[in-house]
Amino acid sequence: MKEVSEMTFEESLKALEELVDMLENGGLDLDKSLDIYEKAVKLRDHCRTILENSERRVQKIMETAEGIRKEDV
Amino acid sequence: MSAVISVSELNERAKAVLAADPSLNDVWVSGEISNLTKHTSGHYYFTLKDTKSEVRCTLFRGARNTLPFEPAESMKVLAFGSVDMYVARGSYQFNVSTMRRSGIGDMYLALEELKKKLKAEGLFDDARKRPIPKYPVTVGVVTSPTGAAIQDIIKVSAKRFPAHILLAPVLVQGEGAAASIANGIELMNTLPVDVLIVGRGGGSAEDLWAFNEEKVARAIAASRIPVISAVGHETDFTVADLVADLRAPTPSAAAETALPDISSEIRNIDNMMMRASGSLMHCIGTMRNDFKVLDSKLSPRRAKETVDANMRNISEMTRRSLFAVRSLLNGKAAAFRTPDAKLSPRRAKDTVAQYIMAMDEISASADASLIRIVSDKKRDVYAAEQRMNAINPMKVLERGYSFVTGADGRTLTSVSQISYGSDVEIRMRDGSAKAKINEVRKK
Repeated sequence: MKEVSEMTFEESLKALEELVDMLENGGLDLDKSLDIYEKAVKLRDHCRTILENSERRVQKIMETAEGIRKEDV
Repeated sequence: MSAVISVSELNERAKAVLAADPSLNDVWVSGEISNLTKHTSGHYYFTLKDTKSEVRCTLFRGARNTLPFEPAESMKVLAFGSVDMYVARGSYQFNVSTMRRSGIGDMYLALEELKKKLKAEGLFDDARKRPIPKYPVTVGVVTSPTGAAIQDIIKVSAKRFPAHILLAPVLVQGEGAAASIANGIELMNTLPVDVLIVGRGGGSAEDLWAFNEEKVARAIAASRIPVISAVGHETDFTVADLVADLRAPTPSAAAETALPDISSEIRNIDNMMMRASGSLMHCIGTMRNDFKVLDSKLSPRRAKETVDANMRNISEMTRRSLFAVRSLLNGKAAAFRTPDAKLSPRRAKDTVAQYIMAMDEISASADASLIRIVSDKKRDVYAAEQRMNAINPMKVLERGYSFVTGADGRTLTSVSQISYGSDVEIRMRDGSAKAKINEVRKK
């Protein structure tokens, strides 16, 4: 699996859903459950970081002789 | 000499003839407006003329109120109505019940043709519509750089799921607008863009016309990137709306469709974490069943070690569970941060009230979770004691068993540990006896 910090929001959310499903399906010992839970907390924190701290760039494209250029609005 | 009639009678007879002739009633007449008079009564009077001829027209207030445009001097129109006789003057006139601008009329006709053609090609089919990606990294916007649309989209996106906005500045009305929009869509398709918003703010039918042109429809259909149309208008859908993968009524609505709401994403994540912690609590609750390690070896030291190990295990698990639950609760507390709260006094007061309620809720659920963990731990310790008692060798002796230790005090469990003449000690419930081995028989 990718490093959590490298994941997109969509990937993190999917991974988190899978972990929660694993926990809910049961059959895991406590040790394994805690491992999964700790991983889920990491993913949750990563998702929140993306939601709350991501940069929102606003740019416009310009057609020039050299091709397309992006410029901040 | 036939019967003499009055002027009035003559005009009345003419009026009746005109009213009875279907070729003069409910007809479309094309011409240009001139001598327009807007009477204070709300009725309009004008002359409709072509190059050779003219006719007086009346447009009564009721009919005028339903017109989609304001008649003006020199305007080319298609007027629908019937011929009537103005008896007092002996002149006939055309009573207009509705009108269309004739230039526009041609455009609408062409539009219907285009719609028919594109529909036959399957460009409007639902099967062609692609899903809009839920979490875009970059949203492309094809619109005017100076219009309200891009401002509305930027404003909305600042509060939604974080994505970059990339604008392709285009002309949205006037000469060359359709080609400009189509070019913008094509340019976007050469860039890493996840979803496209193509549109403009509201305007009249003529202002929005570029979005009805074939060039734009073809560019949307050919786009590799899913397209949300956002042409601000209330009435008919434009061709762009029909071809797009999704139609939004306004640019703001398009931005809301393209970018999920942050707080509902946070709620979704928190719900998942609540489910996860619920499962974890369940796991802790059944931990007592995991004391399988306690086997029936009757060594007092082993029994104590096993129990000690389990106690350590319980403490460690409890510590980790507490950490996990605390981190969950911290996460919930963070959900109530309002990063975009403007610091107006009313907002601030509101925010503080929200915080207080949130903290109450969090401490209530924290208490419940912690109490549950502590009581689980107590139960686990009690269970461990019970098991330790059950395997306490001294308890076994009370049931009539005895055990034998060697000279070093260790429990003997095999005849291979002794031989003829070995000194042993037999332990019973109430004391011990020393003995010497007379004979060793192996099974």
